[in-house]
Amino acid sequence: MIQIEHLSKSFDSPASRNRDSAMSCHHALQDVSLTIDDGDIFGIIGSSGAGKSTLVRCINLLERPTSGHIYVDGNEITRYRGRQLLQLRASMGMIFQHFSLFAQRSVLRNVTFPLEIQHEPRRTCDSRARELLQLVGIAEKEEAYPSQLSGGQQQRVAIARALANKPRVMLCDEATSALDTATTVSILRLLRSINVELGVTIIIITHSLAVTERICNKIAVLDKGRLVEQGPTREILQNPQSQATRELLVADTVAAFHGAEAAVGPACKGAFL
Amino acid sequence: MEALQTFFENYGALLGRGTLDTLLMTSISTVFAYVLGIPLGILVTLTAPQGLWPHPVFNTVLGWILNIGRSIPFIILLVALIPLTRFLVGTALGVAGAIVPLVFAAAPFVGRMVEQSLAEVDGGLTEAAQSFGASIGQIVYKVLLKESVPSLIRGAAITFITLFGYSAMAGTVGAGGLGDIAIRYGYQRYQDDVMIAAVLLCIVLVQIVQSIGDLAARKIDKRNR
Repeated sequence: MIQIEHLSKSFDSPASRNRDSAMSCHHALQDVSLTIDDGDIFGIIGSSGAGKSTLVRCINLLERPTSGHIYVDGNEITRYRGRQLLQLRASMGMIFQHFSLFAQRSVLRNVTFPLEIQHEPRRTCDSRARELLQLVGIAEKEEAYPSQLSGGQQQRVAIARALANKPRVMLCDEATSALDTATTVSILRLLRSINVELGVTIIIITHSLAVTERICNKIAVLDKGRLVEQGPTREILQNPQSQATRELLVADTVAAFHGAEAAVGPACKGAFL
Repeated sequence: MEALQTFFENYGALLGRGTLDTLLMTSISTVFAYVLGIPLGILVTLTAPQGLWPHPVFNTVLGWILNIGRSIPFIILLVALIPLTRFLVGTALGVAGAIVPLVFAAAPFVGRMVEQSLAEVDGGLTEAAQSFGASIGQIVYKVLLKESVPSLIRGAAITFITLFGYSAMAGTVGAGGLGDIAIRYGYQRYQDDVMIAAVLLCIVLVQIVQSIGDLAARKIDKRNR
């Protein structure tokens, strides 16, 4: 279980490293509290600049919160430093919008990377990595390099890499935003099966309600660094209470319409929603 | 044809010796310049404000040292370092005497080249490595250096060629080499033929080194396949 209590994060200068936008430079997060249960597929949603990326980066302390606390299974991780901090990060997998695969490493060596970090022997690394590549469905590509793979294949490798250390939590930062609709669906399906079969808690950051609607059992809506709404996905989407959620719903309908128009026609939208 | 034969009979050994000296000086200096320059490049990268181990004061001071090191004209450095050279290799003369100042001239240059190569590594990769619990040392070794190998190789070719140019001045301390031959025979003795031959050899060698560098970098780079 992950408990986030009164979390705030401010950045010093407008030229700070925050990746969301200029909007949230000063107060990226303000007094955010939420609880993520084991086995959840938890969606954190908001428009760009809402603070989603900052929030997920606080969970593995890639960003240090300015104030507030985060507890993982009752342990206050926001106190962690040094080795303990590295161990915490190793216990969580993370995937990224642009996959962030190591270009000079083969698929197999990308997946063994987190194991090499833990000084696992080469043989253990290789067999575990092959197992995972099998799981994500690209076992035959182990000798390939990332530049030889499609976006969907690259994200599968990244998922295998994120699972290497048998994490109990997986953080997904806009993991499907760079992918087309059909690939998005297949990646979401894979994430769901990982959640069901391996019991991994999944936290998904996205600006697309369609993504959360498809696989999340709970969602939280962020707007300008504040948590405006949270609860079971269905309840929130059927009865949105905040202006921000309603705007996201509208934006999503428009996007789905354009997507359907541009791509495969109405069937695509049907499959997606 | 006969003239050419006579020319090689007279100067072949000299030019051969010069080529060998130049390659020896340049290669050894390049290797040692990297031994010093890689840690310098890594340190200046890590301690930068946005780096993994930010340390503004250290970073500024190191930056100054690297800049000052690159500002001193090589011929001045060559003379100024004579006492240090004597201390390190026992003589300030000949090929050995030239290597020390060449290394000191190139190390700050290499530091900046390495910094440049490491900066080209996508920040997302560093972040990904961090998210798997990698320590700073592991990130340097397994991500920053590993991912920038093609760029480091290109940098090494540039460094080698730069030192090749510097080594022309090593004649000042009697180290010989092609540059020295070109200066002594061409400039001081008006023997244009010897100078042209030495310069041609320089051109050919530089082309070869650059081509090898490009080829190796391309061969080893796993992107764009």
